[in-house]
Amino acid sequence: MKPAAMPSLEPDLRETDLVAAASRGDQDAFEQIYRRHVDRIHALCLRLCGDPDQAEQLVQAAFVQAWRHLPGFRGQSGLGTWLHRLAVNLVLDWQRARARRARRELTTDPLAELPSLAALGAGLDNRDGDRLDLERAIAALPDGARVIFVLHEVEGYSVREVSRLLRVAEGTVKTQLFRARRRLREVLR
Amino acid sequence: MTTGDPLRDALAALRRGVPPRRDLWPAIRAQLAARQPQHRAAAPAQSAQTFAEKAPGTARRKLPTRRALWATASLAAAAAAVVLVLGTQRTPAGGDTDTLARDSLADSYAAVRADIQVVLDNQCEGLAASACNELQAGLQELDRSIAELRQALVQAEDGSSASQWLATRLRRAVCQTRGLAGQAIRIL
Repeated sequence: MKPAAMPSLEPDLRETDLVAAASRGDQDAFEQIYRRHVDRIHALCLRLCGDPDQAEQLVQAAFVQAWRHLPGFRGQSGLGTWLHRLAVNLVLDWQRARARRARRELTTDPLAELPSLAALGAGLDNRDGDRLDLERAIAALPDGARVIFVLHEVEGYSVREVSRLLRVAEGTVKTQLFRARRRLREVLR
Repeated sequence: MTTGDPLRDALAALRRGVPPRRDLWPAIRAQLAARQPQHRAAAPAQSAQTFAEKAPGTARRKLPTRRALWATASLAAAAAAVVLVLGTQRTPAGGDTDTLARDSLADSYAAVRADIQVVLDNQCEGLAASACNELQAGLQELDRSIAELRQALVQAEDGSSASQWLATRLRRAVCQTRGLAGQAIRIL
């Protein structure tokens, strides 16, 4: 749900113009970029990390990082693709850091890391029961399987790309995908 | 139209975009002022101009090559330095008495490495595939070297001179990587 008073998008402005202006430090131009891409980036972060609060923090971090690195964006890919990749890297880095912390703290309750289904539902529109079921089922997958499933099945990365991003073997990716699909089909049955 | 597979159907129905529960822009805007865009050494308008020009010119073809060579050399130098350290101290020697400090160093390295990875991921599309692969291979070599150094440190005996020596080397390796990362980010 978006707040009522939201600045309107200016569809006439080309993305290249917005990037050029934002690269020069124009925050209004960057806001336009934010408005155009935030839903997509938020969906990505939410599905990858499975926690609405954390997802919003990651979205903020992604756009702040995008602002800093925007002058380095040279347009070989679309801005959306660039932002998407930046956000994926950010989420994966956050998950690695969290895993390191968990190892240090020797968490004894493995369920403590699982996101609350109720909390996830709060981040989603509940107009479509089946879709929400899938969103919740994805969020309830173990971290590793969820990230692999979302990157491959939802975001369209190839097995090889997922393998490179996560620095794991392609066989591991395929195995996790198989398990994730089996588990989700059981939930959706 | 359904495929007969509930999972496929549900996936097809997933929305590409999910709006956040609240407007995140005010919080983002508050952070932007403190973090101005990182312009390259060249004129600030260059990026916009480059963005608009899809057709690569001669100068643009040369620039990524120079950057790739520089960055490859930097990463290779860092990796070589760490490998050299390991090569001259293979004995499972002394130990590290400060696990927290070691973990803190590991976190520092992870953060620096993440910064380099973001830059590479964002810039690789402008580099030749071979250069990009070399950079990724350099980073992985660096990972392996740091991991080996940490492992040696873990196995070392507490309080021994070798342990202190290894800890010092690890600190220097991380500091060196941090310096190189800073230069790479400024140049790239």
